[in-house]
Amino acid sequence: MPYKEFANGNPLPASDIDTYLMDQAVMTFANSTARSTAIPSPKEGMLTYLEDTNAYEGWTGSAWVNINDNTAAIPKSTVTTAGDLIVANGNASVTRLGIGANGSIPRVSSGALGYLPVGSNGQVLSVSGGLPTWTAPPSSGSLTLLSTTSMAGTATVTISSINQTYKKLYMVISNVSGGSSNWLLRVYPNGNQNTANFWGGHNVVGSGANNNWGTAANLQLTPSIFVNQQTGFNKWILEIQDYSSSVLPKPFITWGTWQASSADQSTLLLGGAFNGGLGSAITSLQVVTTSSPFASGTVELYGVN
Amino acid sequence: MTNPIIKIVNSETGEEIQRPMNKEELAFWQSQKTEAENEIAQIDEAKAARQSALEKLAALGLTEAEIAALAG
Repeated sequence: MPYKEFANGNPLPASDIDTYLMDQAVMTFANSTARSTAIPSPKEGMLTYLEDTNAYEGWTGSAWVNINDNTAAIPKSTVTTAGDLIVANGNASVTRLGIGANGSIPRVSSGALGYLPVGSNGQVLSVSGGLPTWTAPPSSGSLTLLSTTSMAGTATVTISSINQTYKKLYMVISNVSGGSSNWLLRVYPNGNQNTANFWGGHNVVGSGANNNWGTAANLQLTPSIFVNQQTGFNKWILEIQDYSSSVLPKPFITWGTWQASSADQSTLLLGGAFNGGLGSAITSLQVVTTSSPFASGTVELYGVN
Repeated sequence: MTNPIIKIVNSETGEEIQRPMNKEELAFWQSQKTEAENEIAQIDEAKAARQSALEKLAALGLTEAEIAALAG
């Protein structure tokens, strides 16, 4: 049916009114009953507006349907819960994908969108069979952060209840600064403070340079030296092997650098072992400053596999 | 005066306890402090002795190169 424009003076026969005006115009009715009465034989494509429902409905040839909720549109009722997604499940076909459980991650599998449930503590995202999946962390070479804490405002920091399932411990002490007076920084395994619990040696370049070998009651990270305000330069790393053994010596290596002033930078490389005579696994590490308190600093402890 | 603060972090649970040192902990910490002060005093003493020796060598007429050869 072509579209027809009328000009002034055109005759307007009944056939034009029926074909071009009534059939092409949007007719308004109070409700569907009034519409049925007025249009007992609708023509396909007719468009009406119902005042009671505020709905535009079109005649498909067999029924009046809401043009905003027909098969070619996506009805709001497709989704039922906040967070639901509407996804295609075929050509011109959609379905609801319910919101996943807390922590789940959207994942495409076999051409369909779904969710990968949240993993367990410590698991890492890996790929298996071409799909992302949660797995246990690698058994070798991985670092797991066991603890991180600020040293500010304290004189000693003890990391306790150290997990015993790793091959070695890796401790990072960084950005340390003390009070106004000179001070030392020491580490004690298990808070053991009174016995010669480690042996080894250290070699220091810079202020307080020395080269000592023997036993000692503590692991001193700043051998007879001061550390003050150059906090960004102050960092020590301590690595302890076999820490969970109650019998074996526990070899360690520590290295670090610190700066008391722009002209005074020192470095430390120290190796040795916590003595098997310690008599137990290392379950805690205590970091002590002889100046109270630490003005700043962070201790991080990692387990290494 | 409040005792220095000790912090204990449970690495399994993440729980942190921060409190003033008790009598035993304070005694240990003060022993550490004394040790440190003694060590630092020894360093200062050694530095001063070295400086004094270098000045005496210079007063005897040794050149800087000769002093460096001796003192390293």
